[in-house]
Amino acid sequence: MAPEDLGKSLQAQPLLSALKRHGVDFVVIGGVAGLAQGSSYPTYDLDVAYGRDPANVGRLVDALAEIGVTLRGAPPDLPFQLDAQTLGNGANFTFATEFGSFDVLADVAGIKSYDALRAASTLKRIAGVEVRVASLDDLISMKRAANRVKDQLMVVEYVELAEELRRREAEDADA
Amino acid sequence: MREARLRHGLSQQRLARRAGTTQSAISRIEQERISPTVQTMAELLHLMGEELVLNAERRETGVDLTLNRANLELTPEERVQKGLEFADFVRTNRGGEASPQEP
Repeated sequence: MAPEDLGKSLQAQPLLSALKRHGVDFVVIGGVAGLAQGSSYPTYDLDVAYGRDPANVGRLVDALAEIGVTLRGAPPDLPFQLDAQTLGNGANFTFATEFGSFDVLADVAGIKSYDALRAASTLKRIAGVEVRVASLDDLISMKRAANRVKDQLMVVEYVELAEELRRREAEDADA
Repeated sequence: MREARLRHGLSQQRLARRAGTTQSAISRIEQERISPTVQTMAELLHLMGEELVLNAERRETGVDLTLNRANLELTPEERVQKGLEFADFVRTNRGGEASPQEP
């Protein structure tokens, strides 16, 4: 089996700060969220879930334009018009940027709704930017839904991590 | 199911008769072609003088939480920074492109 293409080095700060600057409503998911929650698995891209209301999609388009995204893995001559209509016609897009691979998802397998994902998320500081990060429980559900071998391994780690956090909370409560 | 049935010297036909079902239904369960409900399993075992016991135990996953515990001592921001630096280390050693992480 060919090794996974790890792409460019990921720089989260320019990507996250562009989203924040444009007021995009989003939640960090995927491996970066896992790291923020204490996972030890490395990740090579930034995944965010976003709300699909038209105003938010418009803000996302502006942020993506500023970042300068191109479709990842698509032929160079494949036309891609970055606008609200294009994003509205799809849901999940995988981009290449000068800051690394960047995926934006409106339809996240394993999650009931963006609102539910957002409600369970917590504010954390990542790369100098205050952002919403998906809960460990939602990350487990997403990994279960993706169900590749690496996802199955991460589910095991996330469950153990959740248990460790539960133990710590219980100890803190007893103290 | 098959082990329990053989332990009691029963044929699939006899167990099926006790259960009011067909031999083929018993066969399908034993060959794992269908997944019986817990209730069906319990009833079939009951008809063989056995009791279904379900238990939940902590799973031994073999996950070493040493790294995770060290991560939990860091802030979320430091965890991400450390993880992305490790990703760069992996990338570099696989021949990919790496650039310094922002502070």
